[in-house]
Amino acid sequence: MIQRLNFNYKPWVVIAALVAGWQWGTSDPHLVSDTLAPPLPVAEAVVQMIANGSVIVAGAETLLAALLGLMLGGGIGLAIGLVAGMTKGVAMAIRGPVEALRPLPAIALVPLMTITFGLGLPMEVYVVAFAVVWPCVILTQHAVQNVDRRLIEVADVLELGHLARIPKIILPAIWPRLIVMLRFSAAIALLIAVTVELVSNPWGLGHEMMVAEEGFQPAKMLAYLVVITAIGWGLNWVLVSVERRFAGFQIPQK
Amino acid sequence: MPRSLSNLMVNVASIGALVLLWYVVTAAHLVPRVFLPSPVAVWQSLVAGFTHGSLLEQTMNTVVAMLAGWFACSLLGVVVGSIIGVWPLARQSLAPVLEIFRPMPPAAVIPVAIAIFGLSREMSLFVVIFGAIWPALLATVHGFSSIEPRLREVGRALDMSPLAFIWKIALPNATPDIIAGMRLSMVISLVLVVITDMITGQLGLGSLVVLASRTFDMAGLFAGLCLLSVIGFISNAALQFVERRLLSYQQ
Repeated sequence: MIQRLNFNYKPWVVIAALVAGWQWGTSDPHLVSDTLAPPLPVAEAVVQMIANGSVIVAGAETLLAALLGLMLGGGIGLAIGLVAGMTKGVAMAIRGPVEALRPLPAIALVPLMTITFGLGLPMEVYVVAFAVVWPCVILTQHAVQNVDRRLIEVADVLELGHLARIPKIILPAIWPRLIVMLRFSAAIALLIAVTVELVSNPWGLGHEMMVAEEGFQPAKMLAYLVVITAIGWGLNWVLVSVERRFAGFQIPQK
Repeated sequence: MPRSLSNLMVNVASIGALVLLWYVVTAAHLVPRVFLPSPVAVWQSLVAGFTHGSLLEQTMNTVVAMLAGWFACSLLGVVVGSIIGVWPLARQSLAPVLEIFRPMPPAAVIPVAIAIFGLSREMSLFVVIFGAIWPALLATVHGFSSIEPRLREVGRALDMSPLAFIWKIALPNATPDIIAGMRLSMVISLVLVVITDMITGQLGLGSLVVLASRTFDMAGLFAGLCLLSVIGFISNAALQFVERRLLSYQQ
């Protein structure tokens, strides 16, 4: 009973007011609605798209591209970050190029990648990888540089070589930060994948959304927006739970 | 000073080495010239574009659009964030709603914005504001929520109005968070301006890159990419400089 009283109902009031305002603003019969649709048809479109499976196919395409790009870019970034974090010379040498390439918006590479690889999955994966690789390099490098000095001394005393200390000392020590990095870069990967599809790639959720917009189907377009947001939200939720679960074993350290 | 000077020299040397590698790869024809032009050609294209082309106008358009969107979303983000930060009712009711909108990919708003505004500058501005406001807004809320409780008590003891509290205590305290958020907003603004340029074909670096690729003008394409990278680098460095200047009193 007490728990029910403590339930924070206020956000639901705001959401209800937003949806009601949306309904009220768009359901005026005098308004031509080539552009926006009331919430009810949008909800219908979401249900319909899930029922006939089209949104699942498109979502799987988007997620596949985001995941492959994340693996490629994250892997390269992790490798470079590990090396740069452990050897000072490399860290100094890569800083200039990283700072020069990092501010480049990954989406601006779409035309170049299209000429080189053509439209399709590989192009999207490479663009996602380019976007993901820089934050991964920087976060891994910082994580490695912040490893407890005493752990490094242990590795020195045990005379571990560079290759041996990565799995035995460094990776376990930076594990929690790597999980945070994963969450951060997964959000970027999904964002870039959807954007590449919106801009040009005929594949996945972003493309379907653009097609709905160009075909004057506002309900369908907004339904895709709802689905994309829900996927982003779900992805974040999954990774936060992963973070809680797997980063936990570090806490008893004193 | 000598330390930062040597850092700078290392950076310049490593970027120079990268460009040299690029030149060697293209000069030795390791990669077809269709895909990777030589740095010399890119440089010539840059010079030609700036001296008697429209490159300057395109660059200025992109920079102005980016700055306008960034300024608007920073202002809006700080104002709304302050309201949420000092007013408990607003925080309880709005913060979870904001969490729903935050994971929405900013670019996914573009089709909706096109449907409402058409292929116009307003559309671009709307997308930039909607997409780039989150870091500034959430950083402000976070900065406000981490104010020392004793400072809140000081405000109450002095009978400060909420506005005076925001202006005299909360904002100065939240400045480090806000500036960090604004830096992220700037990065997102640039990305979104480029994307809307690419889609709408308005005069800017985004459409330049698309046009160059359609005419197989690879030198022009790389020139556009270089300019974008320089814009991103300079804007980030400028904000970092401001950050250090504003926050120097804290050390």
